Amino acid sequence: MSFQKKIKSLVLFAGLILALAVTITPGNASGEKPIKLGLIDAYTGAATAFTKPALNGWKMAVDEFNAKGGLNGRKIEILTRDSKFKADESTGHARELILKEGVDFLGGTTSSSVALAVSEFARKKKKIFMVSISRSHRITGEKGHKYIFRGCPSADIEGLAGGYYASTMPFKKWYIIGEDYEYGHSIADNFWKGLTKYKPGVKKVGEAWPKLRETDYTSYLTAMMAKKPEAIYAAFGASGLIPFFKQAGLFGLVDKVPVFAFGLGDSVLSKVLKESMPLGAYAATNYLYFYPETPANKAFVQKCKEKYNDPYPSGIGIFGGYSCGKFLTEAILKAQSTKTEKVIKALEGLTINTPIGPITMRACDHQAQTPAFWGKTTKVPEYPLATMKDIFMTPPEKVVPSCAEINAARKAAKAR
Amino acid sequence: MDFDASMLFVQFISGLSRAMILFLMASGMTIIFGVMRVINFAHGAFYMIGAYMAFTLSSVLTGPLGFWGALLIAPTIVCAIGGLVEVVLLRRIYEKEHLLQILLTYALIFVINDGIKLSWGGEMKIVTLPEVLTGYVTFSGHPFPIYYFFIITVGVLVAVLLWLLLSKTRFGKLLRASAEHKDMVGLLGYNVGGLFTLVFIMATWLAGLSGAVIAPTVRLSLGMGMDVIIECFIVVIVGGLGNIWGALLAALIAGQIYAFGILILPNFAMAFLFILAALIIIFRPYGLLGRATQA
Repeated sequence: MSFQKKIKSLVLFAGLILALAVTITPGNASGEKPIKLGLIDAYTGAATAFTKPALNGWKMAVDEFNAKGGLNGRKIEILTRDSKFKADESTGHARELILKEGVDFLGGTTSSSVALAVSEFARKKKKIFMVSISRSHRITGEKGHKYIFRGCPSADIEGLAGGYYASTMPFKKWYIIGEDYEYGHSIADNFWKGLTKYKPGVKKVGEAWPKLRETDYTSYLTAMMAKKPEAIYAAFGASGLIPFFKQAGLFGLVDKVPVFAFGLGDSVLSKVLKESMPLGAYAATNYLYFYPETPANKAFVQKCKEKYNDPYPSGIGIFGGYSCGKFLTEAILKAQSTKTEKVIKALEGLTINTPIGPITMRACDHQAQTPAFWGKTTKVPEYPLATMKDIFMTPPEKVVPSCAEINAARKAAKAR
Repeated sequence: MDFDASMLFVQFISGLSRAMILFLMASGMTIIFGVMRVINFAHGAFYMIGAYMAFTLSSVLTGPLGFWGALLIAPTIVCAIGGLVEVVLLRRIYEKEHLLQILLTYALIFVINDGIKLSWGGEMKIVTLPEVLTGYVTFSGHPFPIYYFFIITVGVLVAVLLWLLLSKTRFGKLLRASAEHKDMVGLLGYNVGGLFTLVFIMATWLAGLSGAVIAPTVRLSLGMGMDVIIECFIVVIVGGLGNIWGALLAALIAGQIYAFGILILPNFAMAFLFILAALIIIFRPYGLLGRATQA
């Protein structure tokens, strides 16, 4: 055997030993079997700005549960898997988590198409899947089923709330620009649905759908401004908002035309954009660290600062993850069980106390009923990051689609 | 909609700025193919390194030096890495089949991606523009940012320098000669290997420059190289593989198709470019300025 071949077989052998060692290591030696929660999300790449804080949110809720003794001594153990934004890879992870790790619950996902793929897998395997970032309305709408729950907002709640907010403004001629993918269309359609419902007579003077991850919006911006709209709705995912508003800033867009964007109000955006954060834009998110100024919210912000070095917690990230973790742990306690059927029963209609008040998991569609916070971006001396003024809170009951509408959508989807 | 002249002009300029970025990228890619006969899929990865280098340099260098220093130094670092890659890796595969070359350059994308993840982390980053280049000029009511005029200037300068280099210098002559007949240049006693290294350094310098130039208008993230490489590759094909002026012409066309496509049919702006590419492949497979006899 040549030297090279020897080295090769040595490396192979060492790899085999390592692989064996990993698979036979016992998970928990303390005797009491832990409750296993498998989280699948894009833990590498650009989305980490949201997925890492969301994971911290999950951890915060799980730590609270474990600190109180868990479920009769059984504590929750979190396992994470990197989805890399790929649907097939994610269902592979879901399979491995369920079959090999024996997880009791699944959670996570940022990409809506990943969420839909994992959701379908969870339905077949009869495991609860709690969505913490993905927003497409189809997840709990037409594609919803018994085993899927969403603890974060859906694009229809957020889009309709945007339409409702915009209807209180005098603008009549609108231009819609959005990223050409599931979420972009979902939030734009719902925004328009809400706006035309509450303010009939508004007109769309144009729309454009640049491809996802487009790097150059210049031609779109010039063409859009040439249409002279009275207001613009930007339907971008949170990471798409960054280059869009960077380039829009070069045109001084926000100073010329009112621009509305969901997600722009989230602290992640002002953290990343810094001086490029547009001031005077109409922005929104599902949670603000500076509003409402209640003791509960202040305590949450303090905890985020101390535990995760995150003094300006984000709605898309840590608050969404925390809400999901809270829903799941409270349901486990309420059911006094980790059995899927029992936890589903406990989750349906469950109300949790969050830093911004109670949020209920609606029984008919398993969608958390979340409020939306709109306002105008501004800079105040108290915070180094841009914040919002004139905050307008839309309660979910004001805009959310009725159970009858959801059922009709699900029926129509089945018939197709 | 009312089409007034200044609006059309602004749209034209926006297409021109896009074309210049495409040209900066595609020129390097096409030079590499023309001379070395390698399709460098990792070209976008070098562009990404350029952008990340610009991020670090513009935050490390303070004062007026910041952005301008970054613009000069970032491409230089990128081309140093490029030179290393050529000497250590690419050199071994020139005589191998194309599939192996594609495999290697494609694998490089992952290596560079992970290298960037290790050095900069996965979070999104942005580069701030220098004060002088912010703001916009207005053409009878239609604003257009100053920074894009700067991009256009850089593109024109690079085109002129490339022309001087190729037609007026000995290096340019050798380069064109190697593109025609590599073995003959070698037989005449020239160091073809060294020439290839220089070509790769030059091409990666261009990629690094385009990354640094684009950095202040985008968000930096892993995989940003992949976002541009497809369009860049189309430009290279449409222009004629290996032909620099073809790449310039194709980039100009692509930029205008895009800009006016958006103005007229915003939903199909991207499709026009792909249709053009398809037509070229069917009716003129060697590209606009390529020659049928080549390769």
